Amino acid sequence: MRTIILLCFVTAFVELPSAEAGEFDAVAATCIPDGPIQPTLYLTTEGTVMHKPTTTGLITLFCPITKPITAPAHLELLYFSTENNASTFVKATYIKMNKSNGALTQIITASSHNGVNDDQSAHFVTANFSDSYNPSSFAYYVRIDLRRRDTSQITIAYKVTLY
Amino acid sequence: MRSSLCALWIVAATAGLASAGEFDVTGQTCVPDDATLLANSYVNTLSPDPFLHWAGNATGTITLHCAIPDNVVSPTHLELYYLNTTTCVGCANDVIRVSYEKMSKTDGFLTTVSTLTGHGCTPINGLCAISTSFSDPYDITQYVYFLKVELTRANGGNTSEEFDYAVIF
Repeated sequence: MRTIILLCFVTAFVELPSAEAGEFDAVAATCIPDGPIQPTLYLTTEGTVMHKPTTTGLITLFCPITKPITAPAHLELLYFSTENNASTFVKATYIKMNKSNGALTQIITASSHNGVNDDQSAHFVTANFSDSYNPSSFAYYVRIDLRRRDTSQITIAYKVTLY
Repeated sequence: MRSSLCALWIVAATAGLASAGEFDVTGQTCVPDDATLLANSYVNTLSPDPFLHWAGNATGTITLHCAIPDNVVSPTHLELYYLNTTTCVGCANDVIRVSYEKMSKTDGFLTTVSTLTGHGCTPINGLCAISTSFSDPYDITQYVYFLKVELTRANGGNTSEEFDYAVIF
């Protein structure tokens, strides 16, 4: 019996993707849109969120972190944006709220890279940070923002990861 | 194989704890898509039991996305609990569908792993339940997993159609 238990333990330990076991992932479609005007702006498709064909402006999504995670040091955003500047972008921000007074602190933002993209494929951006992870004092979440300056531009949020 | 044998042994040895790694979700905690919000087509009823159903005479499709935490045990089954009567006029094709989906972390590509479609049914103990099994490598290093729930209704007369909950285990 002890041998079986040991074998099972070793197998589980070896096969688990331990590096990712404590991370947080969310596809954009499972994040919560901000405000009643949002559904007029955004389109949910294939797990992603983007602008409707005729809309522009800012779309904001909130992604709750619903389970304990390993203290993260990286925020990763998978996105697409035909251009990246002050009026057209995709970005994700890791935020904590003080449980005692509700004060918000923006820990780190991962923003779409500057420049023009015309490769029609998803892109990564990773922002590294150092912040003491303290879920007993803070509630954590990720905010995603998409903006485009006109309907000739395309911005898409695919997913965010904290690890 | 070794993992499977171990899993079987562990399940057998810990009967009653087998649900620890499963994921259960009701409609209230899922995120409706833009079309559903714009149509104002759904209602959450929380008492006595929570369920999500159609508002008034709304028709079309209610779509929900439900995040799955990555601490579930590698799942092989999908279950859907619902109500649906398709004997009313114009609602013979009304269905409730739940899909287990995964998005590639590298390119955003979406794959449907498994789907259940709930047609008209006769409830047992107050609900209809359907289940399916699937085989797909559970790999949280490469994919983000979620559930997509869709309720379709062609006629407002189908007042019984509701989504109660879905389970992945």
